[in-house]
Amino acid sequence: MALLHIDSFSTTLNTEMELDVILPETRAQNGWKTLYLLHGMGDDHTAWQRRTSVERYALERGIAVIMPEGHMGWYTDMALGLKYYSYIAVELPKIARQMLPGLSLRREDTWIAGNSMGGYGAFKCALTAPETFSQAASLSGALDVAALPASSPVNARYWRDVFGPTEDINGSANDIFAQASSMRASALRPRMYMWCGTEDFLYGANLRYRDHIRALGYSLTYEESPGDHQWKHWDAKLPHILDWFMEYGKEDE
Amino acid sequence: MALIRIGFHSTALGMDTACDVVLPQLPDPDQPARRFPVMLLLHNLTKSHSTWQRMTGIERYAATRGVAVIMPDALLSSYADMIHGGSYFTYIADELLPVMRRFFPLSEKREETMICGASMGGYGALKIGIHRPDTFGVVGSLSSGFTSITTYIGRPDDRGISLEYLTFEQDGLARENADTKRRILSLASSDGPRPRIFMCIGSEDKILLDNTRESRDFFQSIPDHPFDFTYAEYPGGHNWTFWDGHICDFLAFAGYGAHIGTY
Repeated sequence: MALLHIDSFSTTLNTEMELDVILPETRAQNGWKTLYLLHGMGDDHTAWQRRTSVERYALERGIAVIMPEGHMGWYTDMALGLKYYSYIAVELPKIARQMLPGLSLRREDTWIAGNSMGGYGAFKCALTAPETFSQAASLSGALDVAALPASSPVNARYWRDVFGPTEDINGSANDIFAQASSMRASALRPRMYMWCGTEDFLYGANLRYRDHIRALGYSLTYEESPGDHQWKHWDAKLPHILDWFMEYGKEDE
Repeated sequence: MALIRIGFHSTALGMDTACDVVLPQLPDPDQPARRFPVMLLLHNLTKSHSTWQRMTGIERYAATRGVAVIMPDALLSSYADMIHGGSYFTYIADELLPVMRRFFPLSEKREETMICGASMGGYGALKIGIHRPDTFGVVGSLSSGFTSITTYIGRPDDRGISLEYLTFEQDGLARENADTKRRILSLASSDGPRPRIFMCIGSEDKILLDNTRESRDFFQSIPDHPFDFTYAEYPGGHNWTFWDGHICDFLAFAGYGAHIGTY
């Protein structure tokens, strides 16, 4: 297993960005299955490594993990700020595959997951760049972003910088309820996994999102258990979602 | 010497951030610990905390002179508290050094505390040094004056949004430039400590030569020349060859001209 710290230039953001990458040591026939793993608000690209045993879980399964930097950008093309969405969903997979030819080029081998802000980002990327990502998992995702500005009105300017005016969020590219609706008939509809703790402040939003995509007929695995918004739960769930990702295709056999 | 990449949570930024640190090592592990002089070294536009290391011999220059180097990340911020973005001025001017001093054996003396950078980093170093004379004893800029210009950050992207707008909104840059000038003049007439200031630039610099000369003229026009101010032009352009070649001139100006070890 190798851990790579990469600083590479993003044309989209016009600056240097860091990412950490976990790679298996032996080649896979069609390239390594690859998980893009997104961090939460206030964390950075090192959070998953520092707070969980992600490298060990990846080693046990022979998969690659790419942990990009998303700053405080909510994996959006910020209304007033940088285009984090375009970087992560569009440019980064190209950079990674160019630089690391061992990565699988196949959609079915390319997955995305994250916690909190990163859970939202993972669903957003999978729904809006489905040609790249086939499956997405959200752990305690902040899935209802239209509700965020009201939950933290102190940061009104910050939320506007990220998402634009609150009243414009519904139906926008950042509204993953709307994105799920518009993808409902697509052949590239991603397979989805959600977990949220029942004491999490985002639990209600997770239930709303579950009901929404279930009604749209998405392939969804939903799980909940006692717990709040904490790394100990995300660390415990991570090996489980890796196994869930690796089931892809088997259920159709 | 050691190269340390440290990630930690910045209160000013509200997020985790990465910083690279070059730390000298004493040749004998039984020697009593000492606190090293420290230089904050700031990157230029479109670069990051890792760029000085990758493009120059900074680790060798600093460690052989017994100077610790702290290289923070400031994104595209112009080292400002961005109106739409992170508070990078506050992070680097007020938070970074106290955090680093908690982790590493760094001098707390202002005369052993330096800040320097190239291009946007030089602008940031001058701005921060001038606003924090109690913290920084020696301030240096390679290839930039103390005012920022709009040529690069003023360019709108495909959505019509410029870095200047994200950072300062309208007129904010002019206000900030004027504020720095006022601050220099008030330092000039104060009884408090004044940083020693070093500036140099390539004589073929096509980007910030006029801007840098303007800052030189401003310092040289202050009556009685209260600042210990050094300005130099050397052959060269606006690039890493120049900055690699002249970062040691700043270290020499700061009093760290001679190697103290062999590497």
